[in-house]
Amino acid sequence: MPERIGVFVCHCGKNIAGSVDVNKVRERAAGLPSVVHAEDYVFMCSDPGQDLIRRAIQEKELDGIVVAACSPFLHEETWRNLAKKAGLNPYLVEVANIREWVAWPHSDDKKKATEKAIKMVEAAVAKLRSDKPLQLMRIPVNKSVLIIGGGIAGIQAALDVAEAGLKVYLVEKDPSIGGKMAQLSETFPTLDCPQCILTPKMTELAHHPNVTLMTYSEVEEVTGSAGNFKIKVRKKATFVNWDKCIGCGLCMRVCPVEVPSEYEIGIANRKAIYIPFPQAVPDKAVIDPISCLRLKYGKGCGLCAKECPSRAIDFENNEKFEELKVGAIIVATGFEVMEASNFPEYGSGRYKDVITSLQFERLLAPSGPTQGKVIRPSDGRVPKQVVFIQCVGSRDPENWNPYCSKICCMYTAKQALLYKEAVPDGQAYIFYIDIRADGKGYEEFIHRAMSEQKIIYIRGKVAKIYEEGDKLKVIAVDTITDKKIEINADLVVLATAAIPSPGIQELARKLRLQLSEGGWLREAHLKLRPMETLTKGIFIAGAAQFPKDITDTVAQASAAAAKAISFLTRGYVEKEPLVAKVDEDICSGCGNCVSICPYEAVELTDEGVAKVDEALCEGCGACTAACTAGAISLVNYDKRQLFDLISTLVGR
Amino acid sequence: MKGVIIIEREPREAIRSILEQAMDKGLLRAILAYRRSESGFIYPYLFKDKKELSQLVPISPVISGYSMATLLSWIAPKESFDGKFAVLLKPCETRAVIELSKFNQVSLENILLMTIECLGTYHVLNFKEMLESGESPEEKLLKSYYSGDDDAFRDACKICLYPKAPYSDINLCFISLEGKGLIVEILSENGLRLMEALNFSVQEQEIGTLKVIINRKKRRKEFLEKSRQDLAGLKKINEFFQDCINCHNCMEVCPICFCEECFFDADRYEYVTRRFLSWNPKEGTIPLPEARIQFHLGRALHISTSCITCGLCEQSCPQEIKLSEFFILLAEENQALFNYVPGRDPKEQPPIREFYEEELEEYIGGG
Amino acid sequence: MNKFEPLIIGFLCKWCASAAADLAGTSRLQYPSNLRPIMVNCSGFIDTSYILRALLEGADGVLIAACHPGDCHYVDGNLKARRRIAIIKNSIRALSLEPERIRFEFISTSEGAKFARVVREFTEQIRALGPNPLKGDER
Repeated sequence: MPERIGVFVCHCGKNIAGSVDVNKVRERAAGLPSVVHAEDYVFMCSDPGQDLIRRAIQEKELDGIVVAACSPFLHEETWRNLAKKAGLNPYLVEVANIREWVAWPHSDDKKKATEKAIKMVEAAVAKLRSDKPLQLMRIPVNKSVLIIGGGIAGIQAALDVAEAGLKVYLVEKDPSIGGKMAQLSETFPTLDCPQCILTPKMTELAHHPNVTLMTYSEVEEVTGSAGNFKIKVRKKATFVNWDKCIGCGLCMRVCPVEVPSEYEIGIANRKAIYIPFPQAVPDKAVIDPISCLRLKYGKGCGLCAKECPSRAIDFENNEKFEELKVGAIIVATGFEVMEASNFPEYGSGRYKDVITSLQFERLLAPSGPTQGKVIRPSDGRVPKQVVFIQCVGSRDPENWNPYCSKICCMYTAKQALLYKEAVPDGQAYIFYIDIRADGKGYEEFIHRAMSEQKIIYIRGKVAKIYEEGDKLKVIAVDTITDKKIEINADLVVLATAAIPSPGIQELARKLRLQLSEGGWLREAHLKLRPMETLTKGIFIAGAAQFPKDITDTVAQASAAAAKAISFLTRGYVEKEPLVAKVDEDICSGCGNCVSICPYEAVELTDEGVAKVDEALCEGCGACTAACTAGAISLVNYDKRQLFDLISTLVGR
Repeated sequence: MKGVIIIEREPREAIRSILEQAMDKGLLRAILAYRRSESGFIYPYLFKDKKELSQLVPISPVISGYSMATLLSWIAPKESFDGKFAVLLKPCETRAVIELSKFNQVSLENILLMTIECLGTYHVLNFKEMLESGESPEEKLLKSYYSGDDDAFRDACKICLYPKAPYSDINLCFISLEGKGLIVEILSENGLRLMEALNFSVQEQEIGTLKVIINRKKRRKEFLEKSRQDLAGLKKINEFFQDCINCHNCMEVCPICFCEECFFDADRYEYVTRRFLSWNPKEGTIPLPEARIQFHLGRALHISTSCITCGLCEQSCPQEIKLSEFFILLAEENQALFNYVPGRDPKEQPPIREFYEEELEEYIGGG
Repeated sequence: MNKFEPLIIGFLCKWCASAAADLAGTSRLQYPSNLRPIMVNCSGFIDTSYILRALLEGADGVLIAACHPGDCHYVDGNLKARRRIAIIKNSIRALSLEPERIRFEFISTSEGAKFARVVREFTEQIRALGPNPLKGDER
């Protein structure tokens, strides 16, 4: 309960002083009850500014400070740390935001702005007078990390964390890890074979002693808080006993059912029982219950079980739930590409030869369904005229997504180059709006595509595509020459927009994460903290945050891993003590607070009164409003303080 | 409903006889009900000996002071009572008990709720007058019930649409039989077990709605209209509450107000001298803090979604303020907002504990 | 002639509305200074009695700004706030007082312009309504 308060008014150069009479604010502050020191300075956050505060605290024996300056989001922590170093409890610090909330929005009326600034300082002083000194809480943490998503981001992060000696649980919804990178034919600009560089990492991961791989699994429920998360994982039914399955693939040969393959994005089929691709990790089969005859009708078929040499197939619904206790979470759920059927004006969905880039990638892949032979999906002929269209669904705020999907310019150039290698007498056209080639060796790569291989780049948008005979007529405009262009294409490849993985909204809700525009995971700060979220203990990596290429993905994944490791390395986290507390004398045990708490942090004791678990409490205050008696309240923000704030702000 | 039992006997005798038999057979250890004193006064009493049952008043003409629900929350708070314990309640009291159980103020375990059919009670002061003038309030009440003439009852009773409890173990109905019998309506397993153990045979039968209740719907609408007019705007509201002396009887007696310490009582509402000085004096007077609106409206905002509309607040007000107008209006409005009826179902959560992603869109934005 | 300057108390949730207010300031959007802001961790912290108190203390209007449904940093505090505000507005309306003096808005972190617009609109709306008759005992 401070009684010797110091008020420090910052000019912020002209930012505050230009619209607020800082002298008047300081004068009025000096006359407030319990204020024994008031000072103003040009830049309070600078070294001399901070020094000024520190000296005042020590010389005037201040037991609380109010800083009237910029937003608490920027510097509340600065003032708290400063107070601590000066020997003052860091929670006896209040901030009055007179820059973002007064000086800047009211710069047209200095008198009114000053009045408002004075009132806000008064209110901050009023609150400070009933603040209590608090201590940071130390909560022991679980030295293990959950990684959601087994693409290159998840794999890299998992390896980094495992190497640091922490335990890793990697949960992946598909039967195998590998993600999009495992579907690629080659990677730009080096034209490396992605399987060759990815598979060793996947195998290392599968055998690492610190890693528990949980594929074909999903996160059901997340409770707890930073350092102590409890995760409920649903291990989907494989209908195959993975302890016995040796990945021989004989079951796939005899299965009579064929359905479009997710891995081949419909370009080819898979069986009802399947291992998604030859280098799958783990190399185990799963049965798809929707297409499997035995599972659909409860009897019949069963050919795979008969064929299986290790008798691993038992059609048992082996869905299981497992509970994990982890200290940190890294979300690396990757991205999807928009389906071609979204663009009927390009004939996609109607014409088999209008496909997405990812589908074309599978045609190019040496290990793909055509062994790298580029053929038309409709009749198997080799296409001699291939049209690539970039920015399909990207950079299109009116119809689709306003953002740029980042990787399409590079991969389209790559695909055109690979096509020319496969079909040397073929012709490739690329319709573009701009070319974005901002990485190391990227510009040179594009140049290679344009000049060496004589791939024709046309700046323009394709208006429509329709079938004429066995060709696809592509109608477009060249915006440089302003001429109409018509191409009789054999195959059209659409570089469709990257979009967040399906199910990200639900997952974000479970983790209480926010999403940015477009549905990407929201980072804590776009510039300075792109691998963290606003939720303590949860980090993000890879395309889940925004489309990016493999280089940036790996960098961000290692960054997220580093953050997670440093978060857990001390074995404890320090938690802000701004939690709820119960006055047991007033509590009538009604349980309103218990039912309203979103973190299940309050419970009724045997004596019939409420009790708060301070490790779980996040300080939202929903309980304090639910309590009709006011028995539960937020530390340093109880109802009386709120009423004082209201009175002070209204008082004339 | 699990069934009915029809007993052809004067209802009060029938009820006393059931209770006697139950105590005899050890099926009930104690009964919380009204007792008649020698001077004729009626007060709540815990009957533990069947010899005392002759003084039991099953159909009480008055709720004297506290609701049975409040009493239950004092004597059978959170632990279950060892042995069966029956409570004779008016439907509003039963609904209050169910509502309080949602807030852990009463445990429904081992309590047998026996609701007495009710068309209303007299204001406790009228009851006193009747006794002093030599009338029998009990007989007068029964006569009014059988004739359907509820004019002399409390305002809150005259517009009540619950002559029996929507949720109870047993409803004891008698009004439609006009004194010649008792209908025991059994609604729960516990009620069934008790009545079967007393060797009653249970039948299936539907019971209709009393005509009085049908007529009350119109009266209720008119009451709410009048309340709206009496409370329309600040001037009228101030007039309405101008005699309030802040005694807080209304809160004391309210069966739903369960807080150990009332939020609106605490010292956070004290007004500090310097703030007196900051108010603008109007017409030469220093305006006083709006303690009344704060107390009544503040309390109403906290409880109106659970308000039983029993009107005990009005009955206990020494200044005869028509509090039932204020509370019943706000209860009706706020309960309609969530389609909620307090005490209708112990499993139904009170609106202040639930919330949905899509609802109440009209409360967002201006206007 | 002195124009009536309404006094509006604003309860701004820390994670969305306060950030939006910050953004409005950073973008130098101008809005009337009649708003007196109070930052709370979450709109779910707001009880009906605070809004009532603000009006009885003499505020001419009360603004509560929260995150959009689904965005609440503390899961669903904004939904709880919405119910409570519905109860107080409903009650105020039943008593023929002025429910328009209480305004509940969903404002996300990136909606600095919306914040400024809401404050502008609300200030003018309250100016037109006039001073709050609830402040002090009016006989």
